[in-house]
Amino acid sequence: MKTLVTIKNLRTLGVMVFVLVASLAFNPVHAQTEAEGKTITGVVSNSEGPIAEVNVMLKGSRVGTTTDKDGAFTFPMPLSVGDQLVFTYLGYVTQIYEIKEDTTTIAITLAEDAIEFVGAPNTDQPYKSKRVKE
Amino acid sequence: MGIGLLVFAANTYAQQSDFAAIDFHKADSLALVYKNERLTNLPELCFKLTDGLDTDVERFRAVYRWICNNIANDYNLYKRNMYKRHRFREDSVKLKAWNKKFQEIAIQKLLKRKRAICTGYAYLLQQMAVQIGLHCEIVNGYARTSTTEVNENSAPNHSWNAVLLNEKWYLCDATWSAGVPDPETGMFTFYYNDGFFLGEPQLFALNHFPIDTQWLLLNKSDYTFTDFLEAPVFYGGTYSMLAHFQQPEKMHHELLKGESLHYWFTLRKPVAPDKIILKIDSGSGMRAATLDEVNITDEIVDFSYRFEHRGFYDVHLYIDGVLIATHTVRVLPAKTQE
Repeated sequence: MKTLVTIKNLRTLGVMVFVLVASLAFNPVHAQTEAEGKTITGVVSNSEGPIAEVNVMLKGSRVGTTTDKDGAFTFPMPLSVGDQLVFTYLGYVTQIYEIKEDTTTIAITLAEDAIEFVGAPNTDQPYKSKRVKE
Repeated sequence: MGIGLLVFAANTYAQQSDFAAIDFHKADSLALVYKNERLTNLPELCFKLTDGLDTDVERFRAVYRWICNNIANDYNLYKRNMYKRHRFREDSVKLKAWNKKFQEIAIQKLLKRKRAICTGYAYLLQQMAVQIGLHCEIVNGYARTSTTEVNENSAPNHSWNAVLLNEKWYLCDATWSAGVPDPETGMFTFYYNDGFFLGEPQLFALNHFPIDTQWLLLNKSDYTFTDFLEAPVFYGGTYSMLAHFQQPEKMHHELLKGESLHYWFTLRKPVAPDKIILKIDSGSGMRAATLDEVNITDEIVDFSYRFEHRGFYDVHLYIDGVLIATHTVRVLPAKTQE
């Protein structure tokens, strides 16, 4: 009775181990990490220092992260040579950085977009002529 | 001949009706679904807003509607900026420093409070369009409203956009589409006006004049800054109700007693003749004028109003209760006739 239970447990364990090994072997993300991908970190600044909440996206994908309060980021997936990271922050010129052979950390300085703000709001107030007494 | 001219006119301008076959309902619903999203993750927001939309114009529409539904016009910010710009107008160093400081203030207001003035709307629309892979330009220039005085010496006071869709440029004004601030209280009311989305270049030119005149997008290039300055005052209603406005093409008129002012414009959709009225302000009171013969053929409206009494009048055109245009008329005594 007891022996039977153990054998059943062993068999279950075996199936689990097989599934684990198979998933490791065929998981493309994992395969990429081993073969060609690398973890990229970096810091994003403007002319005055690091900036938080800069969007860092892999071009052509929805994968990305934002910089922390020290302007630092670790890209959430391994990247390969030729991948392009897009750095976006409102008010600054969007910058694209291409991953090279030796890239591991990136230092980006964003340049301010030169915008001259003006604005005439619309109105529904009827026009009224300035009248001089005749 | 008349029909030939109309067909020609309809084909020459880049306008929203080019996309008449496209239903913007899906794009508009997406803009509503993501109403409370923040601007801090622009790529993600743009992805969500356009996911599942098939055409560029729908994708652009979703982004445009989101801006119009979410970004409030900050009247106090506008006043503060105008005051400083006016104060430093002779001092280019101080003006430059102020512009830089104001840019920071404006971007932070946009990111944290979703409030902007015109250039903020135009800039955000351009940035979001870039995110969805479209070519969109900020157009800087002059705008005239009932309360904005613009003359030959004025500095540019407004920004709007031009967007390239199916290899054709279109105009839009997200600031004026979004709603109207109350000049007394500074309170902004969201009230979407579709007339400014891929609007008629001929209407745009009546109260938007770009520094770079290629953005007039008019085939006829003889329209000048002076034409713009001399045009009547137009309102949001002009864009929601009209396809074209032809006459009277100037703001100020001098007539003799018994002479008439002639109106000629094209409606966007059918309106009953009795819904078209003039309200005439003599300075001592406003009265609705009786219009005898309003002709409407194929949405083209044509009528005249005769002035019987001397005086100086602000003449407001209303269609279905919506204010469209204002002209002024000085009526002089008739010349002595036998």
